[in-house]
Amino acid sequence: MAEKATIVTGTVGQDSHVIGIKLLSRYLMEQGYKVIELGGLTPAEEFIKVAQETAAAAILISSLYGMAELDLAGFKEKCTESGLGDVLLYLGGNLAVGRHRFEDDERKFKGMGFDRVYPPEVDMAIVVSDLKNDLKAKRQA
Amino acid sequence: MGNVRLLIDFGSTFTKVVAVDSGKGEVLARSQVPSTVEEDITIGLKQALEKIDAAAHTGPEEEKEALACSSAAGGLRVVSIGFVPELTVEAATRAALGAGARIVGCYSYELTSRELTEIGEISPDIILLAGGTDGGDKRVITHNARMLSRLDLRRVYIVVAGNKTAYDGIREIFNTGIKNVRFTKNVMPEIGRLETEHCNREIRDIFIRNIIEAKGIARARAIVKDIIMPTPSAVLAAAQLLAEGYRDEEGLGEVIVVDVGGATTDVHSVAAGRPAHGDVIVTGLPEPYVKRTVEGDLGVRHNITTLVEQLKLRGRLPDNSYAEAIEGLSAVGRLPQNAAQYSVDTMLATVAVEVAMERHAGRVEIVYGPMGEMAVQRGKDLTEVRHVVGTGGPIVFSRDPGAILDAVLFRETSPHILRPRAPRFYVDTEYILYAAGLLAQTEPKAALALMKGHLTRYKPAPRHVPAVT
Amino acid sequence: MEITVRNKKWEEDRFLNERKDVLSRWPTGKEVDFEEAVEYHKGLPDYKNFTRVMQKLHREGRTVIFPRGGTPILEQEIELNKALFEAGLPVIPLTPDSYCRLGQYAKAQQGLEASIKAGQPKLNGYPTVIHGVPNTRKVVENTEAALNQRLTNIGGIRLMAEIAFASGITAALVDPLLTFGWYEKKTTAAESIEEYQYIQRLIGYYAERGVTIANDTDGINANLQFPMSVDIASVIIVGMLGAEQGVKSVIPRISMFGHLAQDIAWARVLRKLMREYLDKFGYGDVIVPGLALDQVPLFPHPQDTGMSFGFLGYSATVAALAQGEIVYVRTIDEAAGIPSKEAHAVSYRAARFIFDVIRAQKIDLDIASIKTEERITELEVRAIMDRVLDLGDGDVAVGFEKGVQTGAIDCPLSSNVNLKSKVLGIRDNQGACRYLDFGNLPIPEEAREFHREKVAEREQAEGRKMDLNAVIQDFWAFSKGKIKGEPASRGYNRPRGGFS
Repeated sequence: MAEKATIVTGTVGQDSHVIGIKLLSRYLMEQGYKVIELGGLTPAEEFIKVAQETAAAAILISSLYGMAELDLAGFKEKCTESGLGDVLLYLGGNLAVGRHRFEDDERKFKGMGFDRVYPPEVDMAIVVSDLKNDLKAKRQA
Repeated sequence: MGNVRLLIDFGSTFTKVVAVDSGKGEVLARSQVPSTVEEDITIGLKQALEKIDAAAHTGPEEEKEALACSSAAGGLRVVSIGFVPELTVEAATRAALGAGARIVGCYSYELTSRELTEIGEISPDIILLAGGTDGGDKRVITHNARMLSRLDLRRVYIVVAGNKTAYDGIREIFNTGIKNVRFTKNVMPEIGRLETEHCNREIRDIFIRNIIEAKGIARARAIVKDIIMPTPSAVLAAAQLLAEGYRDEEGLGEVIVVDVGGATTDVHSVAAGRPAHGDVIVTGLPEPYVKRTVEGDLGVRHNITTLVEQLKLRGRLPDNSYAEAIEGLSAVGRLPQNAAQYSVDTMLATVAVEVAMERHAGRVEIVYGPMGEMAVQRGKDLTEVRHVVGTGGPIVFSRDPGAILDAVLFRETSPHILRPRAPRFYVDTEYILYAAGLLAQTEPKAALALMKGHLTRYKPAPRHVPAVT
Repeated sequence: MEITVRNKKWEEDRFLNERKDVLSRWPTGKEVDFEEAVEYHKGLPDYKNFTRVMQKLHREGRTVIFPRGGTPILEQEIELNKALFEAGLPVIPLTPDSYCRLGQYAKAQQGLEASIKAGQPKLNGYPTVIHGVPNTRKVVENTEAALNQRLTNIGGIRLMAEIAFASGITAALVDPLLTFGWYEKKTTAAESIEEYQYIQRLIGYYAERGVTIANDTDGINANLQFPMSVDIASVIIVGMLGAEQGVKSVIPRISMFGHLAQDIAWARVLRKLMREYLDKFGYGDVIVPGLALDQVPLFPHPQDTGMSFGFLGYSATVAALAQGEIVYVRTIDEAAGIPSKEAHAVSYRAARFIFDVIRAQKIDLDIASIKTEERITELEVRAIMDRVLDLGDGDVAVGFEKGVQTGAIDCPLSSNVNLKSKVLGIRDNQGACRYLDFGNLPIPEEAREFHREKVAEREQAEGRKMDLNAVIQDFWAFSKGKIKGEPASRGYNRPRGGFS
């Protein structure tokens, strides 16, 4: 079997919530992935730099304080410019402030170039199975 | 050589000369003759110098030391190419503008054959090729280099300022005609960082060494010392000196220069542009401290139709009573002849300045975050800039330059556009900004004194000042 | 990297040198007049001195709520404190805004100006440094309760402490290890200790002139179900660090995690060992006037008022049973937004009912499960303290930093990158917190055996292995009103909350 992919994880922006993404990171490690944890308060640019440096296959971003749209404006474009056009981008958390429907968030962030968008209480098993499938599809492409 | 300095601008329509006393910072004489760049640039230059020599008692001794800038023969025409529009294309465009260029084309992603043909037809002086951060994407810049290698490289210069890890491959692609291909530092070495200085220098170097030669401007070297920069660079240099001062001679502080012309309206700001108030989040590409924007659709002669539309849109041209006057001004080089034309000219310049400033200034928008409202700023906050200088014929020769400059002001009706709130206005009545920029290269103190002495402080009439709270 | 911090009282020269710099960081630093402040403190009535209020609560066998507070506009801050006092609260925090905490005073000033202009808060707290001594003293003058300046983060707090104490505030949260483990991402424990030693030395400087300012300490804290032994050890260490700098009054705090026996046991062990270690290391003159309990850091879904009341009731009950003097409680709708005056009042009335009824019974629970938890916790805390002292060759500052580096000090899912975060916690079959992964913690074999057995018991009862999935389920359970996660009915473990 091929070596498991490298995944970069963290919470973006001025957001210090880390429990969920830390649990997810640990879960991914248990599944055999190489996980680079950037933790809380991570600038969007740092995800890109670390992904370049580690030849990551996916970036998993968490945002819980509702500012994801601002923190991640142009993120896909920045990835593209940085040679990370093929890197999978996953995003999850509370993606807007106030009352909002997840479906709207999902549409918006997929429109911004994210491959997968999740609500905060998502099954981690689903995230991992999506990741497995997406990585496989990418290898075959 | 005494204290007299001759400073020359080879413009697209006029060749202008100013004689200044660098010891006193005074203008001794000015002259202006139609440009003769099409046949022989030296013909017009000699005519202009004759007038000056008579008035300022100068001769070959001063002429040999004269410095010039040029925007003749189309100026410095640059096509900028990058990868993502908001990132390296924007970075390359800013770098070129900062080097005094006119942007004649802008391309993103992989160039198509059709775009390549287009570039060939545009026939720019320089192609600025960016794309990818250092260590980032190299596929696109390499593809674009391969496409560009099909052009006739004897007729164009290529400045490569992209992902350095692609350079070796690009060198191989261009192995013929390598003389015209220059490699400089990446304009965007990493996301969120612009580095335009090296690129600027390279562009200007090509301009001085090669482009003016090709355009016949270099012939002027038979008479004057040298052509050292494109005219917009001279204006930028002047603006920066005026803002910063030189050694113990204080500058004014942050400055905006608005330059209205027949073909474009340019805005230069020498200002950090950081939020004037706390708790504002700044986003987008980092803003250069010295920033130049060029609005190619806001020339008061070339773009009369656009400007008239803008005037109508803003309810400033209610009927057709000015139709005749507008018609009369619709050719390049026309100066207003009667009262109606003067009014129209002022209106056109006003709306050009208003729109150009709207585009140059940053914007703030309110977003809702976990702590309540948050302000997000894109571009430069210029609300606290205290000095605005107007230059260019339509302002300088206007009967009401204050009305035109008022158009730069912050408006309570659109508070999200971060234009200056309460600046002082100055008018470049004697056309000395370019001259000061040239003089600044060798005698900055004199150049500063020249500007301080010869920019006319314009006190706006109270009726023009919108309510500022 | 060489560890330069030491648990050693700062020479007066060093302190006074740094003090010059601290007081020059913002113009209000000039308002600090130490001698005048000493006289002012001495003239304050007992009910404005945090230590004395705690002692009185202890004597009278009372528990009260320690609320949340701190709003930027002076008049509103005074108004808020009046309302809290009228609701029966004798101790009130002064929580600063984030900018001041981080030392971004210019931004705090702009935020204060904007608040005043708008007539409503544009900062998330009271900008002590910007208000300066005259304004903050107005807060002290107009508040009939004892105030406590909250100090967290790095960068802005030294000057904040100066202004607060000079204004007559008699207590502060001064905890380098809380800031290290909870607020900072990259700062080391050693750096944080050094930052806060200044403040503890300042408290000591006041103490030398006979002014008692209390130092409350929260410890390194965990944000996931986990036995509190590391936290208790770190609270004790902060107490010792303070005592060395001359602090004379230490108020320890402990978090509850929802298991009644453990929550009470932890409170008891902390109170006992704090005293013991202070005495043992020559700080016998340092008093511990009272104990603070904090609610479970996993709180219920904010929109559910009923659950919020239940949660508040649990916190109040345990605090009363553990005989704590103060308890941190959120009002019933705080998580849903800024609480209304009515929400404050109704929450405090509910808690007071519980306090009054329980504390009047002078009940001293003597239950086997509490005794067991006390014994195990004490065993662990002593072992951790021994290891820290060993690593630091008797110096707890050095030992703590080395403990972090070696994983002898650790906590799960920490936001600070310096902590190894190798450890994990899980609930046992009764809902008590156990280690699932001991990491490199120096837990004695007897305790390990105890935890393993308890975890095995649950594994047997539920017929599944306790793994990361179960940890995650436990994490979510409490906010749904359950003490432990339940295996999914579909026979498929569905770990949730990957982006929470």
